[in-house]
Amino acid sequence: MFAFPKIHSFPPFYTQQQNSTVRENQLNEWGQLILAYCQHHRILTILPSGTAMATQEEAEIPPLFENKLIERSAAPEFRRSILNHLIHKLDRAQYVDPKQQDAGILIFWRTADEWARMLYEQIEKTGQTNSVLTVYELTQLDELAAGAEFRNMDYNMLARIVEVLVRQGKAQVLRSDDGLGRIEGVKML
Amino acid sequence: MGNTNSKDTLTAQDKAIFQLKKQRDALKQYQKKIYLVIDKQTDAAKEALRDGKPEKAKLYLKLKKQQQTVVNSTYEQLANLEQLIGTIEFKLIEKDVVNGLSEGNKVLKMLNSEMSIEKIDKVMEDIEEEVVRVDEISELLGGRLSDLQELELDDELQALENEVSGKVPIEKVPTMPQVPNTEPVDDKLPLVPNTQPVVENTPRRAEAHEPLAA
Repeated sequence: MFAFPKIHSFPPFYTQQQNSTVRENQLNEWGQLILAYCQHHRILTILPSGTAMATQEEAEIPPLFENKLIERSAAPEFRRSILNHLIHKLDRAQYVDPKQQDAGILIFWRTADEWARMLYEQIEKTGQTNSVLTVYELTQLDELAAGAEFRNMDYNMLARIVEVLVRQGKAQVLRSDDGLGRIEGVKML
Repeated sequence: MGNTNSKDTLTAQDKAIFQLKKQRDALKQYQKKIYLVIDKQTDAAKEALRDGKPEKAKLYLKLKKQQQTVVNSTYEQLANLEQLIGTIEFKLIEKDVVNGLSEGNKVLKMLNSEMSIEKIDKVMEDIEEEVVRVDEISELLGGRLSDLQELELDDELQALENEVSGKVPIEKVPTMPQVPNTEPVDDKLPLVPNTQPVVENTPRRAEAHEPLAA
């Protein structure tokens, strides 16, 4: 079970602070809390409400933006500004689709570059460069091509990671021809 | 996002393998689904039994059996797909190996053509010619020893070597012809002729010389 830091039991933490310096600290604290919380539960995407969307493990997840013991919960607008801070200031989160915020927010407790390096190393180590791998093969198959770290990885996260490798010239992708252009296959070079 | 330039090196084979793998993934997903259905039907059959409806339970079991035969056939198809993927990937590697071999062969051929027998002969001839020339030059310069001198030199060297090593040159004693051990037979000697030699030729010879003498 994730051990929330003490500040999670501190009532003023749930109210947006007026003083800008204090508020900056408060938002940073929330940001670090979200990253640690998501890493612990292996959550890759959350909804703007703070509910976990895509997780790699199935387990009971305690709510993020509320604490029943002290009967406090962050207001929706405050949740939004916390997440905006994480996205724009701390650069550790991204909207899956900026035009459609309910599609979820990717939480980078490991940066896309770090994920990409891990993925590439795993593929290279197992001699699977130069063969086409399906996304299903990377994340769902019983005998995983990419290693346990990538099991049940959410498509949106995997796509971000693969795009890093494409930019680095280390991967090529095969996209679906249904007009959505989703990545379906990857060939590491 | 780099999608345009990435299309270049994805070959038709890559795409074929990709299609096969996609079918494999679809089969795997289908299997997962069927297994879920089978589990549900087992639960339903149990529940029906508990409710005292053996007929209903039997129906569920029958459905479950049907699903299981479906699953079994998917396993066969899956094995075929995996085998095909494996074969194609292996063939691609074999192709690379053959390419590598033929490249190597080309290089070897090129090297061999550079070392043709005619060329080597010519080089050896050139070398011989040069040696002859060197000999000629040293002869001209007078620095060259005659064959006899060379032999004497060898003898001297041998003698020196023996002296140094303290060996007596036994093998150097010339072998003498053997003394005959039989008496020479006297009567085998030719007899002195007891007739006068004929001197017919002498006057003719003298005649021939006469005009010269005159």
